[in-house]
Amino acid sequence: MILIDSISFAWQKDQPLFNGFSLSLTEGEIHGIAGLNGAGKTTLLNILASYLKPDHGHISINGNKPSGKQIAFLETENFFYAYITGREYLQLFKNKHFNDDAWNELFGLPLDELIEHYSTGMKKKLAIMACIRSDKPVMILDEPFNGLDLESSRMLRSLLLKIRASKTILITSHILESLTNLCDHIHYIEKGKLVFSQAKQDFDEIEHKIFRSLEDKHKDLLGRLLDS
Amino acid sequence: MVRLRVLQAGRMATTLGLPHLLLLLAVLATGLALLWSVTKSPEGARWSVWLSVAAIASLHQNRNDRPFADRQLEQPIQWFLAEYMLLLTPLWLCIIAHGQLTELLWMLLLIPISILKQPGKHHRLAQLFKPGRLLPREAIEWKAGLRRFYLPLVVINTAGFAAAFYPVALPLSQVLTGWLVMGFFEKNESLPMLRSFELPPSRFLWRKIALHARIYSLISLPPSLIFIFLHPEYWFAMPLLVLTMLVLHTYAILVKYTFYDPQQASPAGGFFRALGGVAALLPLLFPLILLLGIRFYFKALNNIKPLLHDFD
Repeated sequence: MILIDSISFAWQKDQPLFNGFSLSLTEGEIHGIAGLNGAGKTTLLNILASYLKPDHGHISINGNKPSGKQIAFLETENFFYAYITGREYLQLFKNKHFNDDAWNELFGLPLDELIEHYSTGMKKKLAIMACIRSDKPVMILDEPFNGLDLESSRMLRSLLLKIRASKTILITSHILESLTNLCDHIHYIEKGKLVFSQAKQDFDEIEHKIFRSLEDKHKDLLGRLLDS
Repeated sequence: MVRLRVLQAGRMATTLGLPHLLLLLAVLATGLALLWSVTKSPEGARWSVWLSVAAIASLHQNRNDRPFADRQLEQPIQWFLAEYMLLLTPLWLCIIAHGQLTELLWMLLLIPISILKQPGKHHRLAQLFKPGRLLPREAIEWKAGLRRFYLPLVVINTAGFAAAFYPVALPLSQVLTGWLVMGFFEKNESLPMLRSFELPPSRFLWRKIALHARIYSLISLPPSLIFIFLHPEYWFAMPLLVLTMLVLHTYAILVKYTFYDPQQASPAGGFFRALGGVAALLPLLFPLILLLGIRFYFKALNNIKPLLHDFD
């Protein structure tokens, strides 16, 4: 279980993004973090991956401090050395039981080509494959569907559903459908605050909750802009 | 574009901070004084021109804003040339002041050649080169760097071996190779790559340094042995050079992790790395590099500690 207990974090002094933010994420499930641009989704994941340190509060994973030993982290933008091959990149992540070529039948990557020649989607798939290869109990995936084609998105969805029983998976996406199709829980955050958490059976209510107020706001703004 | 450059320079000065800026000014002043005295002789002027051409070629191949300039500017080559000539103002002023006009002509001829686009086959050559089979899986900077600088490395070392009967040839090719190898540690890896070592900060740093020392010593062995065989009277020169380069490379590794921020390039890191590159040519700077290296070891530990603390 991942426990986020009253964390505070500010990019700039006196402008806290998170102020006493709490959330608990149960094991063996896929949790989605939804929110508008700038809501704090990526910052929250970076804090969980212990890349950023919260100013206050604490986080625990199964009772321990969050650590690289437990977490496989897929960043929004994946940085690779252009002049290494996909295979060389994967081999950095130790796992004796992982057969790169067998898994690659699923991912379909040119593993012996330089990463420089990979497309955005291929780089994303390589980073996802590295996460799987590193075989950590917690997977944090920031916008994993970005850049993936329809087939790859479906493949990733099936893959995550297959492996979730033994892991805690946390995903962000700005496309709500990709979360509702996959997650067991969705947590909606707005400006660093948890607005609501919804379990799978109540996902129908999410769109209503998020979009009704936004649609009213947009209608009002568009009306004013177009009239002037 | 000019406005962007001024803004960038301003930001870099702010990021560096006052002590580092003063250090930069001191290094520049020392460099200018040295350049003035070296360019008095035709040989000194010639060496300065060739080294500057090598530095500009390396800078041009490594700069990240080339695609941006290619898209935004109608004549990017003219823009780059203007920038490099501006950067080399002290050199051509010194050369003109000392009346070394032949060297000035060489400079005007070689700088445009040094920034010509590399042939398209370069990437194919890099693809064919399989350092992964020879190097340990963790030597990721070497695998990427050898492919990235494949062409200049081959040219420099072939020239060095071909001219090995001249005592200066192999040491010079070793300096230029060492310079390029420093560039291997320019880019920051992603957080997952850093953590893939699963080592605590101090062991991680030592592993990186030891791995590098092993590989660099091995590739320096053939030129060193040939040099000692051909010029036994200068037997000490190559081991000394390899040792100097190892110190500078260790310094480059420490600079990298002192300013490490996943996927980000730090202007301060770039400055200190360049300082290490200059120290390869100005032995006066070497004690400063040693002192900075010790300081950066502790700073690097502190910087990567939050990211690797849990592997203790």
